[in-house]
Amino acid sequence: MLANAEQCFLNLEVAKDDPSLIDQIFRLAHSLKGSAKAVGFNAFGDFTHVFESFLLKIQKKEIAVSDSVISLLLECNDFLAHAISSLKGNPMATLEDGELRGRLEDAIAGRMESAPAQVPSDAEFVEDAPVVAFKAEAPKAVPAAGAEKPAAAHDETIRVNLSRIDQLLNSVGELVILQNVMNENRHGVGGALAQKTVVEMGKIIRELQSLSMSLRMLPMKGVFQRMQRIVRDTSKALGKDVELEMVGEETELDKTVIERLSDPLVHLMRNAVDHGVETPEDRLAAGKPPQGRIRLSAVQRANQIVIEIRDDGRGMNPEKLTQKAVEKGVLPAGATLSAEQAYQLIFAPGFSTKEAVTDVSGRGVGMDVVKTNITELQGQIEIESEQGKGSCFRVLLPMTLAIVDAMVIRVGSQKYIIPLAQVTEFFQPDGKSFTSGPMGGEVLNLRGRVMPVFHLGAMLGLKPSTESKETVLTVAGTQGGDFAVCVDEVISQQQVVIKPLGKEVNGLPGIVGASILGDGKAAFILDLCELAKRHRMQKTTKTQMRMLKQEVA
Amino acid sequence: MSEPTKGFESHEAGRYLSFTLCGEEYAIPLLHVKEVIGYSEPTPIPQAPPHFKGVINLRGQVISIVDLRSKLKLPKMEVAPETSIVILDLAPFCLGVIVDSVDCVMPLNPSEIDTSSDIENFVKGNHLLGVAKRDKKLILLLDIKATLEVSDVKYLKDESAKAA
Repeated sequence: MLANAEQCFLNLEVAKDDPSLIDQIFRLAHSLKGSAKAVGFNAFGDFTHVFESFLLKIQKKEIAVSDSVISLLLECNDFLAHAISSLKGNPMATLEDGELRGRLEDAIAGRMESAPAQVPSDAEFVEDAPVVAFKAEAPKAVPAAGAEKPAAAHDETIRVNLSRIDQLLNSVGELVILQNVMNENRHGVGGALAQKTVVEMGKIIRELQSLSMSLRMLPMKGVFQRMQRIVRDTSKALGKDVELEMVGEETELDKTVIERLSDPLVHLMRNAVDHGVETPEDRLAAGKPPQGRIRLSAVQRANQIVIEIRDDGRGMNPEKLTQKAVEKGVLPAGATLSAEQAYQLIFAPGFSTKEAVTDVSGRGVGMDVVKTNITELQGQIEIESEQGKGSCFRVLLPMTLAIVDAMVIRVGSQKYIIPLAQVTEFFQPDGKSFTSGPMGGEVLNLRGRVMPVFHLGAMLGLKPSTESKETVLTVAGTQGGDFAVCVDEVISQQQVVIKPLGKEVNGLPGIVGASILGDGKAAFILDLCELAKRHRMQKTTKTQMRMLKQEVA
Repeated sequence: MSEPTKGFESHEAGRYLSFTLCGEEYAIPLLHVKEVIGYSEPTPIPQAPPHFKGVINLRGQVISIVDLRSKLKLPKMEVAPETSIVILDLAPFCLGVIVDSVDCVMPLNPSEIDTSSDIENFVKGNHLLGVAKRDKKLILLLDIKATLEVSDVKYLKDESAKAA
């Protein structure tokens, strides 16, 4: 409910005298007051009463809607959110509303100008106030709220425990596997009718699967709304004028992804306001309109969600970044980097181009958090920037963490799963492609690109495979460049549902999860980069120990 | 050794699931048993200790399987039609163990269970909770938590720590 109210306040800032908005806020405040009184939170009720009178004045146009009025409204909103969460923890909690209430009363009495716009000091507070989370919890806190309806969205919803949905997904997944088994064997059993039924059933099961998958999907609206507030507060605190444009807030993402996306987005938004957009004076001097623009957009592309934060600020200077990195000791002196590499520097922990640490930024933590969180979500982050024109941070995320496009391969008698994202290409080599290295290692020459070759069997510590006609997969490695991996056979390319492994096998290096294949057997999902890293290390320790020692010395 | 030991102290008959390993009869508290399924070949885990047989698909859940024979350092045996997997619920773990055959569910009174000092060393050294006598047979009460949880988890952690 309060999240809705917040949205209204923010809208109010844009459309300063839209009476229907004020009416809506008024209704919200009123029903909140009613509910509070009904359950006996009198102090809370009293405060909402004062708040309501203030709104009434606005409604009657006795107080003009100015920025400071809206700031005050937002503060009240925060206070209410805070009050409700503390009441939920302790129903007897007393509310210290004296100061805010006094200012509200002042404002009602028409002494608006004397009310200090205290938004800056509240910027930190906003982070703590669970504005987004609150939306879901409000009905619990105010059980008597019968009057909530007008504020709620009009599409009908029910609240379902997430674990139930996961159970459903699990069962549906099982059904899909069984269906596959049946489909493979359908020619052996029954007559034409039975076979036709199997095919029909398959269609329905697939529909059921996509439907149940969509149950976990939520629109990004909640996160976006929070960003609006972040941008507003940050820009006010920094004395900048920023307009936020949001596109695609109806784009849907997996619930867990959305929850974990919120933090990195906050940092990116603050970064855009603080580092990206210039002050109005600087903008005018650069021949730009004084008001900066930030565009937050989300769009689905194939199996990915692309979130863009684009500002029209000063952009980034790769040389300056490199120079700063050398100063901070992140890079050795005299290092030269491409623009892209330089941009990636901002994700290094402790890296900040700001001279002074402020409330908003400068500790060099934020972007590190962004990178870590996005990587954890199996996403990527790209940066585009043009000096003087602005920067664009592009976050690419998988739609869901539960399904991954993968390749099923065979080594010996076992099947393994490799996420497609790790594989750049695969082919059957002829004898000429390989060259043996001095240390007994093999090197592959692929269209002029040279990369080391590993055997998956050896990487997994299995007995060396005897088959000669191996398929080679090439993998884009992260640290230490590309490498190729030999497997015995590529079986198929399919979507697999990632199943968590039990705690007892968690943390096994190179294994990121398991899945169940079409034949009903469990198979491991491998992380080739991790395996190669380990494999290399083992090799190094065995054969190159001395060389390594010399290098270190 | 929390729950099973408590079971002895209270003077009620606990229910146990008995199974055979290498001709010997073992029993574990029924409370830890989720279900018993027929043997299906697990998918081996690369670089895992030998008693860690792998994982199986149990109706969409991936469950790790431990070979109880090799865990208890008993000789290996070929898979027979009676070979079963007992799925254990040892919060927070859910593991399956391979046994030669599952026999029955039996109630055991605390009075039937011998934990006396004569066999204390034997009991302690073998992850046992005690020995029960019934029909002139000895049933070894296995402390399944001690057998599986501590050592295995530690082992795998050590392995990955070594690797890292």
